[in-house]
Amino acid sequence: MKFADKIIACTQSPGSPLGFGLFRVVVGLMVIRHFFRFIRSELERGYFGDAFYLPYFEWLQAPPWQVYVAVIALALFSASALVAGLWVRPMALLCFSSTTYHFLLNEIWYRHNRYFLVISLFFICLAPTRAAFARNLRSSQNRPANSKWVEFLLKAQMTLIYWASAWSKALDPAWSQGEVLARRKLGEHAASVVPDFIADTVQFAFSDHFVVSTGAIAIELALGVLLWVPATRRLAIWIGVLFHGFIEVSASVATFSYLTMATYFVFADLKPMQKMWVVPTGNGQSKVVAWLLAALDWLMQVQVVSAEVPAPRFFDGRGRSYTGAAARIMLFSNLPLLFPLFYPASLFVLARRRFGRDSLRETKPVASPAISWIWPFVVVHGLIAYLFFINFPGPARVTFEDSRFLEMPWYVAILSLVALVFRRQTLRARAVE
Amino acid sequence: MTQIRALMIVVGCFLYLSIQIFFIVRAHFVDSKHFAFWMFPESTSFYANLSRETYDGREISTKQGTWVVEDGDHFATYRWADLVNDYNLNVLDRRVRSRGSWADSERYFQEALNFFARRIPEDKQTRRLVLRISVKKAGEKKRLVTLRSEVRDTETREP
Repeated sequence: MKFADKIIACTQSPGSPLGFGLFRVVVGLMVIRHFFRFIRSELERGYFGDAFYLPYFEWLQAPPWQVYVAVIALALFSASALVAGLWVRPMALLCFSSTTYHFLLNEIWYRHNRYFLVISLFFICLAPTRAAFARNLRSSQNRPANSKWVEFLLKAQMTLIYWASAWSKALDPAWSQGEVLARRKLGEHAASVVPDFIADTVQFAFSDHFVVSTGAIAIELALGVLLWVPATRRLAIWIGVLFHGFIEVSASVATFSYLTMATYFVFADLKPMQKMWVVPTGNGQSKVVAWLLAALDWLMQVQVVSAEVPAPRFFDGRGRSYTGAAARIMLFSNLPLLFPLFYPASLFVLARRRFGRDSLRETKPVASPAISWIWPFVVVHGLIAYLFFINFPGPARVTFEDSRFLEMPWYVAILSLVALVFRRQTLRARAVE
Repeated sequence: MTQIRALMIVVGCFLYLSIQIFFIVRAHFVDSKHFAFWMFPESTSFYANLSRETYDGREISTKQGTWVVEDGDHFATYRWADLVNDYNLNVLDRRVRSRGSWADSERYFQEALNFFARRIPEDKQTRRLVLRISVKKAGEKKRLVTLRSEVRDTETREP
């Protein structure tokens, strides 16, 4: 195929509407969070236009406060519509315009995370996010849309961010030798919000700032590469989630961590129910497996079916079948929590080509368990674990500066709700098919 | 039609990425790191004190940027933090970490000084405002930076 043909094919290839749909939900939530901080701050200090500010352009002065309030109201309204999946395209444009206008009003408000929020909204405008996970599209979450190129552009953007960050740190001797992190006192900061026994570990981990700095630079450089290689993409996503999660807990970067992790929904190439775990018909364990998968397979990539097979099998997204230990390894490596444990073994299975090309004559889906209680169970236990984490062993140590720790449980609850809707839509789509 | 659309997409992607790369590379040659994704560009702390340079040549230090002037039959109180309240520019007389790069903070301080000097109409004694800042950048020694506001309109001068 000629190079030009390849490019034309790329612009016509369907991307990941579902991934963009999930990305859109998180971006909407982050816009709301972003503006709530401004509202809180301005209720405290008064309208920003009455104090010192510095517009990016001379002609872009602070508007009358009534206009300013209207802009924020529009941004909040459109962001809520993005979360709910209502009138997605016009709301994305409205949200992007109002947030960009607000961003440009004052240079002193510049933060990388706020700039990245604007960029994310730009991508929401570009991508066919209305084709997925929207309130008015009941069973079309996998509707093809030519968005592969948007996915490519977003991935290139993320690579540039990782490399720019790593490059700047590597060139700065104060950063690469650990002095910058040492002065940030990350360990002490973390110690103020976690129990002592964890704080000791965290402070120990931060004690060698040279190692921490070098590690951060290496991770950023690696992420920029690993996200592009199909075989290492899930590994990159796992490292990225840990990396950004750790940064958010140890040194809050406002919306940046959440937005970055949300881009992984797009890169993960989500295709719900395309992989199969096949259990022999009449196997008594099939319902237990279905229950376990409902709890562990958060993005619903694997469906459980029964068929006339002698032993359980796993079918990957490309139709390759695995049996025996290889089947279990491949199944577990597809579950987010177990992935790090089974990823090396799954590479071994693929390298040794321990798979076949079977096809099943007749399969019957094993009914998924009722989900109404699973997600509340997960949410409540997540919240208890979290509250235990920040409060134990003494009274709550959360201070105003650490307000993000008060907000996190809400994100857990909201994203669990999103997961519930995602699951219902996926099951409904499967029933329609 | 398909080819034209593909061409437009390719050109659009190329332009977008070129702009992003331009901002990243530009950051190596300018002080401001805006739009360049230089996370933690540096770790700098500063200690700033605001003082007033009067028309008779004295320099009077303020406490946390606050001072009171008598104007006829009433007193006017000026507080730096009332009008300058972001980017840690509001924190005076206490060592604090600079947000972003120090070059940006220094520029903002200068603009804020000029802004504030234009908003103290009842102060007939102050010729201009002076910020003396002790800056400690990671990997460097402490240094002293002095910023002065524009000289205030002489019509405001006390007779």
